[in-house]
Amino acid sequence: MLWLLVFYIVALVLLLMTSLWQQDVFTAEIVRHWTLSNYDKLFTGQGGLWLRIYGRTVLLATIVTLIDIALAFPLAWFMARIVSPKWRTLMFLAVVVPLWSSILVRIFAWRTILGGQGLLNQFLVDTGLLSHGSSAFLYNDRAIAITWAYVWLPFMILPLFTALEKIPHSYLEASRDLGAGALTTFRRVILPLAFPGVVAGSIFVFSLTMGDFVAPQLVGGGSQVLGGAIKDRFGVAADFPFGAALASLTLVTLVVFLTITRRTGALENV
Amino acid sequence: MKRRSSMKRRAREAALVVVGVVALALFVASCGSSNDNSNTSSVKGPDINAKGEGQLNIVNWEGYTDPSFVKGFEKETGCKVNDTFAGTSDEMFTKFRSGGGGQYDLASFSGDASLRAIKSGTVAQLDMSKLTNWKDLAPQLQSPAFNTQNGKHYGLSFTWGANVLIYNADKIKQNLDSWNVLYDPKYKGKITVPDNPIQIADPALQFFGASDPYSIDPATLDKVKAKLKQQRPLVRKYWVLATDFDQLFKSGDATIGAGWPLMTNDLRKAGMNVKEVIPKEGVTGWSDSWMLSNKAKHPICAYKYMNYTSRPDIQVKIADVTGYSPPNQKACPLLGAQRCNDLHVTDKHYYDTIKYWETPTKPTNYRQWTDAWAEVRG
Amino acid sequence: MTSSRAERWIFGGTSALVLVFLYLPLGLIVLYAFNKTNINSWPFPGFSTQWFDKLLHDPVPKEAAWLSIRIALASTALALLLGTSMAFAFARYRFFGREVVNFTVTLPIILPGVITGVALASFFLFTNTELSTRTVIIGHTTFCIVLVFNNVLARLRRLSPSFEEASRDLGASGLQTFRYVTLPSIRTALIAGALLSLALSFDEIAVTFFLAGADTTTLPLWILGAFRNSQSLPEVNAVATVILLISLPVIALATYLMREEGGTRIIEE
Repeated sequence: MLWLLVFYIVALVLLLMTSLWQQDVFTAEIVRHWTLSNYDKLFTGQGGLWLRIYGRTVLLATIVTLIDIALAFPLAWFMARIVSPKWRTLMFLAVVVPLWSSILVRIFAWRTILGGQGLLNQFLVDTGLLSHGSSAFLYNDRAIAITWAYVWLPFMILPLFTALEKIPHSYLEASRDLGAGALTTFRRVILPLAFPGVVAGSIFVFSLTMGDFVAPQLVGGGSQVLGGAIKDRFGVAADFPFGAALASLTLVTLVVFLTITRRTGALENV
Repeated sequence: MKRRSSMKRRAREAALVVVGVVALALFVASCGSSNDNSNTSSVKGPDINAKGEGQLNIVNWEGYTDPSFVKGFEKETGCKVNDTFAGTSDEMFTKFRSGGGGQYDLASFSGDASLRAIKSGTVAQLDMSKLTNWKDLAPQLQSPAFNTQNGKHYGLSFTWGANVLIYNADKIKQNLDSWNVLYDPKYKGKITVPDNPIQIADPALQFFGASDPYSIDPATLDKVKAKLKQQRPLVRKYWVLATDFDQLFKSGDATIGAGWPLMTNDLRKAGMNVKEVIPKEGVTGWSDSWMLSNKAKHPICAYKYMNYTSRPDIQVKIADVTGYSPPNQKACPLLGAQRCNDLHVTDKHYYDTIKYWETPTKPTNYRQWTDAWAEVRG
Repeated sequence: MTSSRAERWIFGGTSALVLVFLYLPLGLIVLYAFNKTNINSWPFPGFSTQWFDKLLHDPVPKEAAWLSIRIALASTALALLLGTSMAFAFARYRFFGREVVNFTVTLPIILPGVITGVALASFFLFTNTELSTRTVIIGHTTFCIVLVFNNVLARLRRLSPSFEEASRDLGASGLQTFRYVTLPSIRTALIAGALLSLALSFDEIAVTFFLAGADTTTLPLWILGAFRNSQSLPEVNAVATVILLISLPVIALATYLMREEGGTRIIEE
């Protein structure tokens, strides 16, 4: 019963070990001599290139997570506490439905929206905000962030909605009775109770953005992110051990992130 | 008290599990065998008149398994073609070797992967007697160094072409003839170039006088890297898929770029007015070969496909789709004099001016190129 | 419960904008599925149903979709089996390595697909295992298990074991107890886990990319390939539209099924 999990862990450990080996440039054979050269390259090599890529990815992941929290909250609140139960189910459906359409096609659609002659530019030109289409929206980090924020948004809405739905109405009434204004109630009652939902959503969004390689390739420009760099090293620019080192760095980052969030007890909300 | 002992227990559990798992992983790693370099001297190809195995797995460049000619093949031979595309030779090579080899029967390796394939023992020697159109290929393509070693043939030459300069003639009115335009701030934000480390050879050839742009010393590599870094802010997007290039041009996001004749073809079919140029500083290019896996599961179908795609009439169809130059000289009359000329099918002199992709090994090797390219992209 | 009009308007307005954001790309996809040309340019070139026509006569995406369904079903079945038994072991027993398992069991879903993908691909490379549908199923099962495990475990934790005890006391065998007492009470958790698992597996690209063999073209892989071919591009929009249409009744059914239980515990952490 546990064999699949063991197999998975062994594969991860194997990946870590591969990062300590090297790959022959010409024949692509893995040479099993233990060495730290991949990590040397990762942390000090090429003028800090890989650390920059790592930093860029973490920054983008953080920004996207924050954007999604900001977007998800009003919608989740509206769904959980303002609308009637019938509408609640309908809106829940509405949030889930996009997930059932191909993620690749949804990402690809952003080219049509953000392109030089795309929807956004046409809108800005028509409303007079721009004189002609701008190339600032597509094929750069901004486009990747927007696309990521879009794709993973339902994963933030759903746990937040679940958490907000569970807040007993009596708490809010009590808080008001005790004289707290809306802001205070939000800060001291709602936020702490919603926190597990925010954390759960953040884990998904942060992790998924750290590893994605599809959006960067389809709507990104020149700069690389971790997911793409890892994929490249296992494919177009074969250097499995270095790719494994990059993957290990990602793995450690996410495990640390996961451990911290588990400590907050956010995942024990059963 | 209870918490501390339970924490200790957890730590001990974790440690034991880790030890066990690492031991398992080491065991798995040690049992992985390396590739057997079994280059058998016997070159007996299969019976190409026998019935095919019913399936054929190919990894290749876009356009080499187009339905316009693959459908005919499947009908004729009953071999169903599964095709997978690769964006770079590295990717093709990696895919070809995955799972111990045998995943794919055929690959269309360019000159920069073909030697790696031969050296690593993943491709089989070909029985040229079974390749019926071989003798009709242009003489320089029958036994070229990139697929024939010591008289042993490991590949059947397929199409070839140059990495050309393509631009939107409606937006750019003058006639361009120099690669300099791709580094000109005048075209900032409208340029697209391939996302491929092998591109390093282009500036090496065109601006730094490297007669063999695949054998460049570290100093030249650094100079090329600097020049490419200068170009970086001008590039709209580094295209990965052939359709990326097409879309960039169609949406107006790019008006000039380095691409393949395949793109010129596609864009013209879509009604765009594009010009294709061989700039004066020289061009790199590719010369592809069909190569057969040592562990191919469908060798009969593979040989049949190689024969099929090297037939003159099919070569014409392939040229229709890709715009690349076919190797079979007998395709010339079918193409008509104009096209035969345009594609330089019988022009050995022209063929020799192109610097075909090779795997850089020394003084700088491909990994160094890949790292340099990663730095350029940032 | 009442909320002020101001609240309704502010939150309602913002929510509407967010929903527009969520549906804009979907709207575009459906719109361009009816594109007259194969160029995704704006403004919209004009209407035509040619791509649905093409799709109807094109066997390749249909085969890819069928393969994706088969993989999703297999992975979900395995996940239900393994995930449920693991959840039971967890809820009812203490065993060696329990805490480690508790942590690692979430890894396949927490870690991005690229890491799972390259790790398993390396494993298969070292063991000279050929990549095929089987390897893809293995890859998918690793994260599908978590979905079932989490949902079932969350439910089990809320159920009192006294029901099972009572059943046993009244003379029912283990199997009968499972069938008549336990299974009904975890039914919706199983459904939730299974649905999520099916959805994730069907549309999965990252892990599949590294584990697919030459003839393992799942629907997402076909779509990725179609992106490379300017002829197939609009057909992709048609495919996405069809998937959407087919899944709408399925999700609706699932949502109503689970709302009945009171509370939508789709993602039970």
